[in-house]
Amino acid sequence: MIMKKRKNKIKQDWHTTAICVIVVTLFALCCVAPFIYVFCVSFMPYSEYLENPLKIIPSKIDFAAYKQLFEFDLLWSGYLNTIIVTVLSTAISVFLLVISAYPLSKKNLKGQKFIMGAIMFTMFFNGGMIPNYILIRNLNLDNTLWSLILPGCLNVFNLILMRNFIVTTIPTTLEEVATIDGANDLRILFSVVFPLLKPAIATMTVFCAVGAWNSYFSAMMYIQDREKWPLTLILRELIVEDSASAMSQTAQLLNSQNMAHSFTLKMAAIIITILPILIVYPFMQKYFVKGVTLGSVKE
Amino acid sequence: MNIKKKKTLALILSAMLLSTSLIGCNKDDGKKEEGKDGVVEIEMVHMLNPEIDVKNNAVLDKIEEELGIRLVIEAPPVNDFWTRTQVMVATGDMPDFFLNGTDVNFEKWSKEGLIADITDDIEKYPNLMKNITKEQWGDTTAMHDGKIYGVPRCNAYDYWGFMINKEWLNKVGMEAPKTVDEFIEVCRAFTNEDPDGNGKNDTYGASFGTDIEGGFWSLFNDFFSTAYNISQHTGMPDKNGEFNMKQYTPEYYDYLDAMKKLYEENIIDREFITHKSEEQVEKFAQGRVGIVGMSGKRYMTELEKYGLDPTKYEYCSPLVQKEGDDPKYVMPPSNWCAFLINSETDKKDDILRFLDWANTEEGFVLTHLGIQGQHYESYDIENRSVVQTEEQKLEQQKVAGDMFGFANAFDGRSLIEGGSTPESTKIWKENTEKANEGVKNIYTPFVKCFFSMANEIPDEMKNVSMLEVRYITGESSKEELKDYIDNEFKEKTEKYTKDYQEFMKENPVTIE
Amino acid sequence: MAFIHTKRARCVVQSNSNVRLMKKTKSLKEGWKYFNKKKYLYILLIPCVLYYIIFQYVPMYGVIIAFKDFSFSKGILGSEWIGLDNFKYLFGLKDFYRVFFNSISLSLLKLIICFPIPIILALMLNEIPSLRYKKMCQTVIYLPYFISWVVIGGILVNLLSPSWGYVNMLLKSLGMEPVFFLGSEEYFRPIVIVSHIWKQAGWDTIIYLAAITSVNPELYEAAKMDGASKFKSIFYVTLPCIRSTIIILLLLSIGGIMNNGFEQINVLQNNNNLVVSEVFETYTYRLGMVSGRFSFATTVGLFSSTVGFVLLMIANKVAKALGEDGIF
Repeated sequence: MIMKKRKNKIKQDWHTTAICVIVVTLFALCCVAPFIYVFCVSFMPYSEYLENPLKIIPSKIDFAAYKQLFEFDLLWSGYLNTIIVTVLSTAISVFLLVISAYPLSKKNLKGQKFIMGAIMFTMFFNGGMIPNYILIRNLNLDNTLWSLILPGCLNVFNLILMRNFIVTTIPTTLEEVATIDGANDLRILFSVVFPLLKPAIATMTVFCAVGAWNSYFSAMMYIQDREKWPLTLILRELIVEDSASAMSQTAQLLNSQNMAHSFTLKMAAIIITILPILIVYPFMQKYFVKGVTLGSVKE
Repeated sequence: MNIKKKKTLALILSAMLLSTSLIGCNKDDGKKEEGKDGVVEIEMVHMLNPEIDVKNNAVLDKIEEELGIRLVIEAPPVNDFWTRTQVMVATGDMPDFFLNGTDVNFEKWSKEGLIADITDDIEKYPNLMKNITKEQWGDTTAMHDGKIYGVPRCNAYDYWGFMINKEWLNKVGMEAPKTVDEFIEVCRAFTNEDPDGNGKNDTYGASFGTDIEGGFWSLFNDFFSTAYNISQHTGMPDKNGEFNMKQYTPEYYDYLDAMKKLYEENIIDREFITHKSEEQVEKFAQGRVGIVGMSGKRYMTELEKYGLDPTKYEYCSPLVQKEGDDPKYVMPPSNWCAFLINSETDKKDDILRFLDWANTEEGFVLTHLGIQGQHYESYDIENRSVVQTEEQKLEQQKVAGDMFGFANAFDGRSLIEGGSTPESTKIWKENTEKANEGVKNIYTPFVKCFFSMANEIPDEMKNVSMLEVRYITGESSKEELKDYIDNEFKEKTEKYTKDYQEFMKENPVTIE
Repeated sequence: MAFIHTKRARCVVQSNSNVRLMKKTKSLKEGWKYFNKKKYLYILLIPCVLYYIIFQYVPMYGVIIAFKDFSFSKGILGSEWIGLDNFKYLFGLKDFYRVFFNSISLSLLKLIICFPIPIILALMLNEIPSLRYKKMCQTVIYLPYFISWVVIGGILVNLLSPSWGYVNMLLKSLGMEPVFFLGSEEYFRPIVIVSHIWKQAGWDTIIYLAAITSVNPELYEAAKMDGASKFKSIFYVTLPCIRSTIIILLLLSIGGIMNNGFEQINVLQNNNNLVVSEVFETYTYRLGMVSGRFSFATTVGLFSSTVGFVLLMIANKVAKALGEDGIF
């Protein structure tokens, strides 16, 4: 009787796992398909794309799009700028997130509620382009890479998530034990809480890094020299997106300049923007696949 | 564990310090040393293609040498250029002069005295007056006081007909259409008779342009709509020689009905209503459609861009309703934006001196082609053709070009006419001359009466173009459209129509 | 008599103020003591507070241009006040209410359909037995996030084209009539939802996966000992453990109800489906931002922010009333 029940359970488990694997695989296939398409088209001669836009396997591999991109001097300075900005702003952001979210996670800390409310408020309301521009200019940050790092270094959304992570993953008993041992809040944060936050920090690192990597708006507003433009802004220039909002004249101008915004070039640009992220991501990934064991701590 | 963490922290901190010093140093690199003898430094904001180097630029050096003027150019991203100029003006960060459209902001800025009134200055500059026509100056004439607030970046006249696939025509055994009826016949044949011979029913007669702002009123469709005396350009007289908004011209519904018929019969590319930016040209190049509207001036460039054989395609003049009618080109004075001068700068005369020079033959060629021997071999101004090696062309793109140029036409003609090779130029010349034979050119003034309409009555503008498209696709009835146009829309637009008619009385069109 | 009275009164007053003073010093002292005890926490908060003051609250004055007639020459502070005229104009626009309805209904659909999908995906991913396969799937599902809407739009046009697209070829080979997906009203919302899931769901699993990793593994073992099946342990162990993360994200999505994502809508919009596809962002973009009407653009922003903020506040209250943590 018991054996039968056990068998049943194992069978059920097997069903659950199978369903999960199938669904995830299907979804993954849907996701990878456009990427394979983008990848293949980027190596396709433009004429072949024109023949059949949904063709996937090119009859001959053509590096013209990549050549055109790599011949472009600004691309390299753009890469460098983007890497500097991404590394710095991720480091600063994650550091600030941890040290700010920790006190904010203390529900009984006086003033915590008020600060949290004030922070939430900025998620919805902000001064807009002009005052921000004036601020950056007055801080003497314009035309420096700092103008791309500092204004967005403490994102409200990330802060709320980080705070939530701390609230849910750090057992209060743990801190109480540490307090009794005579550790102050600073020590608790860095030697007790910090190691437990690894998955959260990995997640935030990915979020901040990807955010910094993809952003172009601040650069468009605050950076005057083209040598200081990040990669995304430069690629946006190569691939003129819908210019209906500006003037149709722009499109004509660019056309006359032979900036053939051909589709293959667009695809190659996507590949060279994603590639570095693809390389770095697996290193972060191990932290949120494995997880951490709380060791000897018990609630 | 702790040591490891400390190490990481130290690493981060030192990285931060290092980069502070690195980035901090960069800050003032952009500023040039001042006080070179007699050289005037002029700051400007210009829209440039990303290849152009604004710091080490042989053309800018040459300008400095010739005129004693050093241009310090800032080139914001093309995609966000207009946002940048707006913020620049709003925050008081205006350079000495900059490129901008003559849009609503132009009116505002001129009214508020932010940009300089140059009405009395320009007469002192003969080349400006010569190269920029009176009609073109109309572009930078403010509506509120009739004064001139900027130097137009003049451009050659453009005209719009259509391109047709000659191979397909041969296959179905037909001639290029001249009348609307012939056009419908050709579309039918192109759709049903498998003109590309691949055995699949996957081709259509024609495709059109459209966008959300203008409905399906795109210059790409002028080859068809001018048969009904309607054009995307304002200033085209209707059947009776009167001036009205498109919706109130006598043949408006005839045109919509013709379009609807094509749509219903499914012999045009129905997906044209989803086009955003010239997808129809790509479809033409792909051999999915056989006819597409195209500028006669730049069709050879388009063919070359897509790598198509120019002998297999033909450019034709616009359609007419019945045989014996004259096809029509609507030709408003053409500018590519204008240069506006900061009203607070003390370098107004230098700026105008420079722009005057840019409108001479020397300046025109230098700013477009660069330096002879270095960026091109030779240039023939009579035939507008250039001899240039591939390497020179690459170098040229870094220092000069159409986007860099401060005047885009000299003597009313562009830098290069036709294609990029002598052969393609020859084909272009023969083809356009043949196509343009017997076409009436309607030269219109610069009409500014409607440009604020999209701001002032946005709902109505949007609704009318929506109803037009929905009428064609069969989602809305004619009554619905008619009712809207005759009542609500009329009420809101009467004011503009009146202005328009008065303006056209004072500035009549010339037909040649 | 009167004298005594006043004296007594004075006495009372004095003692009263003494008490108050004592209380004040006492509370000050306590406050200091409290601060001293928690000083490290407050010190940790300094950079955060400074950041929000400098980069968020200092430029906040820009909001006032919603109530002004912005003049380029006078700047934000110098422009003339026009009171609520901009708001009156906005609410007076005839299409405003239809567009507002479109926006909200689309967001609600997104909230109901798109919100749970990353959670389900994350839970399923977590059940994959092979670690390597799990990692691979994870890497793959966030790829679409990096492809911009303009490109996705281009791919969709090619894929869904009634004459040349694969989807319609399939329909035709099954003997069905081809459907003009992108051109018709009724397919607009489904396409928005599906493409949103396609692009976003994989990326959104990251947060949930991180939350799942911090679930104490002993709980699973305990569940196993109790004879719970895998499905049951997902339901009774994992879900409750990541509940607060789900709630926080739900609250934030409710706050973002006025944002439909301009880029996505703009790419999929055309004149034929405008009746349903015109949402607040595309509508006001055309009204204000294109032509540099800074005041009006700010008015629009202020309106949608207020709606979002108020909704978030209400949702947060509701969550708290239901015994959840809420955002703050």
